Amino acid sequence: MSDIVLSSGIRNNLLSLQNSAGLLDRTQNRLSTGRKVNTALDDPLNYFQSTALSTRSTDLGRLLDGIGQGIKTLETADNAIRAMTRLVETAQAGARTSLQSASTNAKIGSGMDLASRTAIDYVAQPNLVGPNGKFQAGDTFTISGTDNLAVAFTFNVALPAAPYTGAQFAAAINASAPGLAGTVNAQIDSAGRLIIDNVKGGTLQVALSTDAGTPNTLNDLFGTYEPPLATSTPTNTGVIVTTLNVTRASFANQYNELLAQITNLAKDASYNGTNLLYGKSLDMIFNEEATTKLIVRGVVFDSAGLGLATTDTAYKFQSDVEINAAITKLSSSLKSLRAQASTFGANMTVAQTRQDFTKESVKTLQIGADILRAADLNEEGANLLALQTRQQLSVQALSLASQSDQAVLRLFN
Amino acid sequence: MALKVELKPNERIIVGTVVIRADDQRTRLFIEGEAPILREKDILTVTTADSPAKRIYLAVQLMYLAQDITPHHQVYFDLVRQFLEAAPSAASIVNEINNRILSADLYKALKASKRLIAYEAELMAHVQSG
Repeated sequence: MSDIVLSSGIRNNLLSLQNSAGLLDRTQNRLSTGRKVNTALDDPLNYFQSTALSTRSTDLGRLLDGIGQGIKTLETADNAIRAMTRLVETAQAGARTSLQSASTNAKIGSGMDLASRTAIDYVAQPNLVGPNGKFQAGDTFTISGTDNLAVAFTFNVALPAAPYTGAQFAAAINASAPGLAGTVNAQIDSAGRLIIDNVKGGTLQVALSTDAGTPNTLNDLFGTYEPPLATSTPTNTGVIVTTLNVTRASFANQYNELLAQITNLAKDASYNGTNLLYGKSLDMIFNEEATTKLIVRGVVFDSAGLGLATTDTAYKFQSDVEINAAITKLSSSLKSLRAQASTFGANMTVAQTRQDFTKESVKTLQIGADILRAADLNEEGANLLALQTRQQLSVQALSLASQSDQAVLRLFN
Repeated sequence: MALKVELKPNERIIVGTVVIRADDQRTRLFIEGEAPILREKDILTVTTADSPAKRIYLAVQLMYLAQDITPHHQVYFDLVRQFLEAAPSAASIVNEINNRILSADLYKALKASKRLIAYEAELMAHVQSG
């Protein structure tokens, strides 16, 4: 057996044949995959670079899904807030309208029961006791009545030593009904008249129960003729009984229904299990290492979360005081809704910018991975020179110029 | 810890939204707090950004100074796409710039953009010399 001996010439030919076969294989492979570099053996540097670019583009693609879901969640919450804002506005309009239906709750003031009397002006002549005051220390008023659930109340306000003004008296009434806060409301209205109001809409009675010193009448409190009438006429006790104002009562019902709808809306505002209006938070991750992310904190925006409750209408909107309190609450819940809408809006802008940016990044990575080829530096250089000329009058150049003008850079021009 | 910056006579520097200019002598500044800081030699303007890579740098610089990518990312990507179509071999540098921007590290993005300018100069030199 003798070995086959190859001359060096033949050996060279064989080797080059083998090489061409390999090259052919590779070319075929490239044609079928559309890529210049497929394995690490083709061109290690380009191969690993290309793989890295592809991997990153896949990673970013996965992040994009998350950002997209996040944006949807924000949109859902935003829509719900808009609907809730409309509901709150409706409730507010209802409350305002019911204010226009005259209140029929028990109210004693110079404007009503003692309407024919000339009102005492507690702004121009403020004293009950003291200079120009008609009462004395020790005079005591008893205020009593029932609320619209027929629960009775009664309390006394005794006048102290001089000087003591009508406004102080009103404040004392408001403060001296222990456990009845909000039941009776006394105020000096814009015309300087004292008005005592049964907020809860039942009966109201004001009596001068202790009359120390000079004899007085209720006229001396709510309005009077000069000279004062005799002690016996009119009586020292004024009584007013209320009737239910059905217009106001129906607005109160509507208010409660709107609250229920707001709560339902808040509970239904979830997207993909995340409800930003019912206390869940949302994390949106913007890069693979999760070093940049947007955390959107959720809020609880059912009617209670907005500070609204059915107890706002416990007395069926019979008194202006109750309605005004409800309107104030509605205004502040509108403020919360608007503030939250703008927070979500800002978050959405950030997320959308990130989404656009990530999308574009994925595109550039794909260009990088797919076109990767043995760079023809001459060609690329020529391309860049051509681009340089082309860009001089481009939209982008104009846009950069206008953006620079708005920034600190204008100081450099 | 304060950042120490030394300015040449009449040199300017951007700190936040203001430009500070040195008097006609060397000046040393100590800057504390968070604000975008850019020395005159690192600043490109519309007039000096006269090549594709420099325009990309300018776009990143605008993002850095505003600390906000929102108003600028559209024009940035237009420029980047044009650049990659002309010179695909720059993909890895562009990728790094993108990554830095995504990671909210705009200063490093600016540094990477500077490398893109150098790379562009290299490519253009091929044509001009050959």
